[in-house]
Amino acid sequence: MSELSLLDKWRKKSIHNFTPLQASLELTNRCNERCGHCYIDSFKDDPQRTLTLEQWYHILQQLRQAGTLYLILMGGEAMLNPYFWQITKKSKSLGFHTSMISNGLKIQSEEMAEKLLESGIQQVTISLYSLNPNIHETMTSVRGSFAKTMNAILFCQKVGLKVSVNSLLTSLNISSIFDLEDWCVQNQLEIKVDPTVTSKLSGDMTPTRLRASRSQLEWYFSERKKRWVNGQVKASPESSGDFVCNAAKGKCAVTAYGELLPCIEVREPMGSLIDESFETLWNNPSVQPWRDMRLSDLSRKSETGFCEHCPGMAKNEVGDLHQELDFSVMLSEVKSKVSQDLGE
Amino acid sequence: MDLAKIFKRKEGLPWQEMEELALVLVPHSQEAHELNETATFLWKHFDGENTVADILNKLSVEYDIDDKTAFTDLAESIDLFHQINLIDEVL
Ligand SMILES: C[S@@+](CC[C@H](N)C(=O)[O-])C[C@H]1O[C@@H](n2cnc3c(N)ncnc32)[C@H](O)[C@@H]1O
Ligand code: SF4
Repeated sequence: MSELSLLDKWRKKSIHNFTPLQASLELTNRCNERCGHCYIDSFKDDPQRTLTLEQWYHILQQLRQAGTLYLILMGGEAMLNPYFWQITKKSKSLGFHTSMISNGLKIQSEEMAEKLLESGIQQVTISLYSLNPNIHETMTSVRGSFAKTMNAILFCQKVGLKVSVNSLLTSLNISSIFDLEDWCVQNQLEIKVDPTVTSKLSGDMTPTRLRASRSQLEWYFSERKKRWVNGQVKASPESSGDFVCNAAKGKCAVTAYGELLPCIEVREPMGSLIDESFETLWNNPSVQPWRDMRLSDLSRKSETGFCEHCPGMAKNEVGDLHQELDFSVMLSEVKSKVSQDLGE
Repeated sequence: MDLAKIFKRKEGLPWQEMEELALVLVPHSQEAHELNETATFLWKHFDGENTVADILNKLSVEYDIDDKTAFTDLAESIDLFHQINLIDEVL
């Protein structure tokens, strides 16, 4: 069986078993960029609540016992956690597959990339918004960040780390997105372009003002279809058992203060992993609404086969996890329309 | 096979067990292996401390099999683990 189909089989198994095969850790809220689109409310950590190294170790051990294989380190900027290197080493010794989502600003030499590899990081996903430095830096609000992020990609690739690119698709970078996609393909970099800009975690809608418009998204998906053999918009797999998503089933997340979340998007903590065991929190009845959510519970407005609903995002924005957001409905309509267009 | 030999899981191979099967990842070649129930049992015992004799004992108790069957199963599994490069012998 190929690696992908085996992983897919295990992913489905984890959803079915409620085993958190994937866990995202927000190692810190601190960051060295100031992206206008960022969902993080404050780039400061509350010193009263930050975790000690022993507490991070305790969390790693609990996740391992609970069945986590894939650990995703993020933040803020994960490398700004003072215990970053100890945490990666521990994750290696515990047998996790560890990856990191990063802006790359702290990876400014081959030695640093090598250190990441040796400490147990197996994959790095770098956030890059455009090949045009002005556009990238307009989004990150840090002058010089484009060159640093590009350097990070090159250093990581050079030492043999698996590197991929994340690009949030906004009205600011959509005009140059295909240059970036082409460059990634030429450089053997997987790229994920995500058009869904969420609100801040507090519900502040400022980042959503950067969302691409309906006509921009139609243009993007139509162009994609023309450019790439596999660029056709695909129906979202209306997941097994009619579940809306994987939150609190095959995945979970942990905040910088050790709170367990059903998913990085769902900001209702199940409790503190410092005060209670993973098992107690994971089996807490308060998680059930997230775990049980099925497509049939939604008063569906989105196009069949193109559900873009994220319960966490809906809860943050409108306070109701069942309500499909206008943006999600619009995105589903655009995808459905483009998938049906026969083209010129 | 020398009963005093000791094997250990190769370093840097992430793995996880679910429903008594293990998934072992080989990051540098981007391969993944799913181990069957017996192989998973053995994999967990290749910890760099158990000797072949220790593992044989545990295998025959766990699966209620005679020593000869346990020996054959273990020898075949060790060959396979070597072929796919998942274990090292501790020298
Ligand atoms: C919060 S960042 C943390 C890791 C790191 N600082 C980085 O930017 O890569 C993780 C990912 O979320 C994306 N992101 C940030 N704000 C977002 C938002 N409002 N909606 C969707 N994605 C967002 C970023 O582009 C990045 O790829
Ligand atoms: S680099 Fe990441 S965490 Fe920092 S502001 Fe940008 S998106 Fe947010």
